[in-house]
Amino acid sequence: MVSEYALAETPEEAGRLVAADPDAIVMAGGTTVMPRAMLGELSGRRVIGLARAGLDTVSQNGATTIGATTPLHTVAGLDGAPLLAAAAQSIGSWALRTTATAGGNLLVGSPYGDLVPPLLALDAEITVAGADGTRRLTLADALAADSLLEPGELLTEIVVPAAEGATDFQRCARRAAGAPSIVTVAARIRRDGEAIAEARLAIGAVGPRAMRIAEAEDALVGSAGGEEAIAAAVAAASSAVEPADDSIASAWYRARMVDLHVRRALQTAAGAA
Amino acid sequence: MTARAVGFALNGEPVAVLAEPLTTLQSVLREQLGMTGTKAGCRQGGCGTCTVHVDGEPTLSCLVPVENVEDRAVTTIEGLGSPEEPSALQAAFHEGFATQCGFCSPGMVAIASALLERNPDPSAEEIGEALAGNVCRCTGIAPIVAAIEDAAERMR
Repeated sequence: MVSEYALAETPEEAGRLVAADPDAIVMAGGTTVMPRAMLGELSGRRVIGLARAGLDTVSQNGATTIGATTPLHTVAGLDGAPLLAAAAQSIGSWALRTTATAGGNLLVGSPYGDLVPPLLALDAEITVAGADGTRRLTLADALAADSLLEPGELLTEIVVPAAEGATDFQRCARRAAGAPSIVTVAARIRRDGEAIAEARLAIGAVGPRAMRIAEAEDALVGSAGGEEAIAAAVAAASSAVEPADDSIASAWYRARMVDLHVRRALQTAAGAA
Repeated sequence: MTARAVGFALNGEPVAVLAEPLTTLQSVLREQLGMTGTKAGCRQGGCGTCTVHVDGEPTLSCLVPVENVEDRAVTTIEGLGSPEEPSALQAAFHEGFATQCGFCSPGMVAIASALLERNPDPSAEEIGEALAGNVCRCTGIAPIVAAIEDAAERMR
């Protein structure tokens, strides 16, 4: 049994509790922590709960600000955020999405975390509260660090700028729902006239962390987004990822699914841009 | 000293329980409150048979610590209807033999009632999407989808 379950009642209390006890397990929705607790893996640990901390508000004012404990079900229903909504809708089941949270999805790691590629493609930022106040950083920078959060820090919100251009989300899994992803792809393409002015390509579930593929983006910018440019971007993505072998899929299969789903995402986004 | 008192509304009636930290809503319902309609299947959010409503939202009760539902409204299969007065969904499941061993049925009825509250005329595809997290290992999904369509028609 866990030693204590401390339920924060306000965002400030949540920040204080986490800062004061960096060794505690921080639980938002609980969809990954609760099964571990049930198995006795958290015996003697202290758990800080965010479920009632009021970190679940969403505001849309050009940018979309998503509180860290906003349920995925809410994200799936967001107006004007089709890329994020599609990714959220693809996760788990309806009754899971009412409990699982956006912030939890960001922090939970592979094979979960299907919101991360769309957030990378949308240039999202995160707000983190610590003992010395809050800091804002891009999700890309946070992912490049050894750890998304420092000990004692609390993820409080995700800020998604208004998306420019057309987007697409592709997900490959053994079943349409309730199965872990083999690969997820998020693409965003903005044109200036005929030429692509800005491109984003992010891939998740292939290795330990989701990543943007800068070489693929570079292959698209300046082109008209035709077959040749897309083939070059697919090739760049293919060589940038290091597919893992695990119980979900073999590295061999993952590599092929990366090619296929990157192509589909780029064709769809380029076609709509 | 670690047990905490938690009060919430269960099927419209106030209840209070004493629970150790992180006790699941599911085990409190079954073991403390005698609401054994809510089943304990995989206990990791993968099978859907423990689905209940929390403030009207379908929720996997095996993933929710009972402390989280303090002052909230929980509805279980027992609150959706009774053998004497079954809901339209329960009647349609019964008459359409959409139950076999019955283990998945409480979760199926819970998710389906949440669906019909929001969408009184769902397509077979929309029903399938709603049921995606609820596993049935005996009747197959077809009679369950048919029963939900039947119930939707009865309720319209």
